[in-house]
Amino acid sequence: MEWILQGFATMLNLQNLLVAFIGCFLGTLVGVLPGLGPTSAVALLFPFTLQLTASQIMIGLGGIYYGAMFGGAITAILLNIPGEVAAVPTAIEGYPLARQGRGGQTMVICMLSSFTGGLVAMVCLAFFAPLLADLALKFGPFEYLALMLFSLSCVAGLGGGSVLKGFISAFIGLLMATIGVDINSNTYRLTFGSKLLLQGFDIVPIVVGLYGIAEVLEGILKMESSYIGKGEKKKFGSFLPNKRELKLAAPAAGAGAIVGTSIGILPGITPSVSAFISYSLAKRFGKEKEKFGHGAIEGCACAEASNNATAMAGFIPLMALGIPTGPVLAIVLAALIIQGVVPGPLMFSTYIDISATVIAGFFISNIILLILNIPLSGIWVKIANLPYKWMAPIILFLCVIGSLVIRNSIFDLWVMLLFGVFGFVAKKINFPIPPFVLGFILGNRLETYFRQTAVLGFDYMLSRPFALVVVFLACVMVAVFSRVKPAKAEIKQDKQA
Amino acid sequence: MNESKIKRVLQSYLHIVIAIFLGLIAILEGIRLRHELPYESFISGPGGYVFIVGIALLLFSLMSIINLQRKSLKEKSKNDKCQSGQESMQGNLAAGKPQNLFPTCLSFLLCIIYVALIKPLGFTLASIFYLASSLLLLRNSKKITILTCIVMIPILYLGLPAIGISVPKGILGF
Repeated sequence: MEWILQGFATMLNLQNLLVAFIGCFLGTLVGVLPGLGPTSAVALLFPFTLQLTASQIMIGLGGIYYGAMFGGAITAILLNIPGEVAAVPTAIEGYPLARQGRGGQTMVICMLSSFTGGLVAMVCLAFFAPLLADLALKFGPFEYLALMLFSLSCVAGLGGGSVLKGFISAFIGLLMATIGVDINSNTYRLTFGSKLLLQGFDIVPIVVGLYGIAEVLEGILKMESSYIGKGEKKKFGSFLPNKRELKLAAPAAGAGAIVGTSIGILPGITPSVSAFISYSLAKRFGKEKEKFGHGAIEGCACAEASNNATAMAGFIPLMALGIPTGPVLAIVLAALIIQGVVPGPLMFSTYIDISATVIAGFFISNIILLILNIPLSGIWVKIANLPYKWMAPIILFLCVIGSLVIRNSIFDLWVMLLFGVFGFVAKKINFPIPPFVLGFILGNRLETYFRQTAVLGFDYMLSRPFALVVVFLACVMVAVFSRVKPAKAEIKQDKQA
Repeated sequence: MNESKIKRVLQSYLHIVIAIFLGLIAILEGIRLRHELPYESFISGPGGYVFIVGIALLLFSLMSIINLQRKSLKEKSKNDKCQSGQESMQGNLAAGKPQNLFPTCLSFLLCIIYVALIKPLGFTLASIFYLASSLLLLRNSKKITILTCIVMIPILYLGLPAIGISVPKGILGF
């Protein structure tokens, strides 16, 4: 555990603390803006983090991620506007509590629950990620290929809507990643004689287009009949929860943290999925079942602990195996790859200092969020009430700067606009975007492992039982997902969000 | 064809058309690379992977088409059973409030003009032009538009270089 203490020592320098603080602040700021969730927040802000060191990137993006999630919870409680799907249970239970004049207490309970969730997942990250990384040292190309395919099939299957659409999306992502010069054979692929395509597409304009431009266009479309500012602003009341509330919330938060952490390691499980699972469990096993739907503090605590735990738990496979479980972590992976650090087993040997600082950074970010959000709640509510007609051009302008900073190339801006339209149309036709992003980001590595496996041949594949089991599991997942129809409740919740 | 019907057709078929188009391109690219690099093993070479991705895309498209056919057959048999119910459902769908795409399209058009103007005008001027026109388009008051632009000028001119972000300069030198 000495390495963790070393991480805290490194983390506690002014620069790292500033990165964590700014990350949490900006994440919450974007998170409270209507229509922008954690993925959009990370996509919009990650180009600006690329001048930092690898550990600072992870700390900054982690802060943005948690901040944006909590921003969604603040507006869910006080304005009945869940900034993202994961905050829907918080809105269902938190807003009635705010109407009863207990908004401040609910927010404190949610913050403490989020902190608990993050803490449990962080402890698991510190203990289990090195073990997983040790195991991963024995992995060959076929194991990695199998894990990536498993991850892609889970994300495609859980992406919402049709499984086939999810797979088409993932494979379009894989295809887009092949555009440009193939580094192994130095041949041009899918460039159609264009010099601009030789370098291929950069991830930044794609992600900014898909999550930034598309979200804003959608927001402008919805502006007339929008969800924006519809909630009735409530008084905070006291910030100090009473004993009874704490007694109810503590076990719910603990349970949510455990559920969120355990399922958060699996690819495709987003914080929203885990928030709903935990909320359903709390509803079923809670002490005050009759209060659910009318302001149950247990529901808020459980959902908030769970979604933060899932967000943090996703870093376990990302850091130990280099495999992201969802779009936000795929963006974090892309940022690290741009910096020349490829997450994987070496994160806990060669890059142990980075890992330790990052884990300490996550812990400190959670504390910063706790301290930051209570005094700033009033400001966040005011920001959430800013007119969208003013916010939209500013966000679009930020998207342009974000795409421009990487290579200073106008071509990247055209790519951003192209993928902005793609993302907008995809939303309209229920075409899932996360599998595309994951496919694009994993594309190059997946191809390398595929080609290495192909060179080693069929006999090699048969001699790797772990990889064969993972491939089998991926096939089982596909079969299961294609059989399961999206639950009515889930569709309803999505519509609400 | 009403709006909801167009949306349903697009929801069902657009991704298939795109997947078939991209799948065919990938397969052709794979074949081209196979002929260009005969010394490489096809599957482990640069063309094999692209070829396989293309085949997968075509396969998924085919499966989607089969799925849609099965669904439409099921719907047809349901329709025969309860035609009146379906009519009322279609009526409900058609009655859904149409969304006004005009401001969205115009905002996007402004983005295109903005990007096109960055090279000749420079980032700072193009950004001010974009912000002003976009804010006015979305019915912000003139006062707010002017104030936003005034605040943005020092941020663009001094703020961005201060944090190490270099932006394209135009004919006027900024």
